[in-house]
Amino acid sequence: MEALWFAIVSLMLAVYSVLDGFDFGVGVLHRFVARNDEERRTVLAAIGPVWDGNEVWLVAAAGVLFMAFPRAYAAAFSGFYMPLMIVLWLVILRGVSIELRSHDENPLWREFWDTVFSVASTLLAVVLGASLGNVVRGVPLDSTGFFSVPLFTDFRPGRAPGVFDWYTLLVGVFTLFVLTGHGALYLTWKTAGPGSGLTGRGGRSSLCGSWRHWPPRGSSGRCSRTCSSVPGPPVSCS
Amino acid sequence: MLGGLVGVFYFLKRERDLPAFLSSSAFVLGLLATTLAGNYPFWLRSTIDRSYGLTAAGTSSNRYGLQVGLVWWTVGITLAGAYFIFLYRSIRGKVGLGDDRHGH
Repeated sequence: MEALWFAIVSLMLAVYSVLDGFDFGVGVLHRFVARNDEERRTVLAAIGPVWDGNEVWLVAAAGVLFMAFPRAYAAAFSGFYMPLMIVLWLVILRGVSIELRSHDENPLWREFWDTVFSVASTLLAVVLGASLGNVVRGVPLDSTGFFSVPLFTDFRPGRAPGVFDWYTLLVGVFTLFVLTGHGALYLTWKTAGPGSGLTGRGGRSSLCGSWRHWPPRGSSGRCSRTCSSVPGPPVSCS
Repeated sequence: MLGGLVGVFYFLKRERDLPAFLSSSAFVLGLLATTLAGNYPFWLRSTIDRSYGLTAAGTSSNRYGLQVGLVWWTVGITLAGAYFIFLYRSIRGKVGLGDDRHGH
């Protein structure tokens, strides 16, 4: 029975990673693949109906963990207090930035919230990836079954590591790249019109690691070069 | 997991966007599922002493609680699954420029 519940909680966390993962990826790419306000609104409209529903899977997984494995829940949520607070604030900032950006047409206002959305999405991917790294690496659990970890110590994994060390940061950065590619593929599939060319191009570039084409747009001369170098539908560059 | 990764590049090359996205989903799903499965039976490993690690068996609720929870979870996940199918069907199709149905 414990094994079944272990599988259920793991599956729910994996489903959360898939669903909210593309939201994070879209957030990371948001400022890079859309060049004007209309395109940015298109990018947001692609995740608009689903992003908050996707986040509920994390809440549901935590609830199921609390029901099935209360001691593990208690130890993890008290030991990972700082990273959980960071995740909570980043989740709040993402939601707030999506909702507030269109409350005023001032370009500075929108630029600010778009930046907040992008930065919060990037940091969320890294922090959640680093948290997974902590689960794999291990934490300083003592005989009481509890632990407390600082955010960082000397950046080396050992008997008393911090949440962030070189290993967990690498896992975090890997997670960022995977989810960015995942989000790019979602945008490629979900968006149409002139904007889809940009997002699709950015997505393919991101996933294939073609950073040399970054940013995916630019002056007309540079744009025509990058357009032809990346597979995908022809894009009109202006 | 590896099939998902290969599928991403295979379908990207053929410009089939939905299968490419689904392959990416399979890759992410497999990545996390295999990581957690590899960690079993531990939820959290101890860096101090292996015996201090929190295992599934050592941290679980009692058997009766897990059995009752399974019934509620089955009902809940069925509703959640139905909602998500409804949601994703209701927004099917592509979003184009100027398509501002959601007030963003």
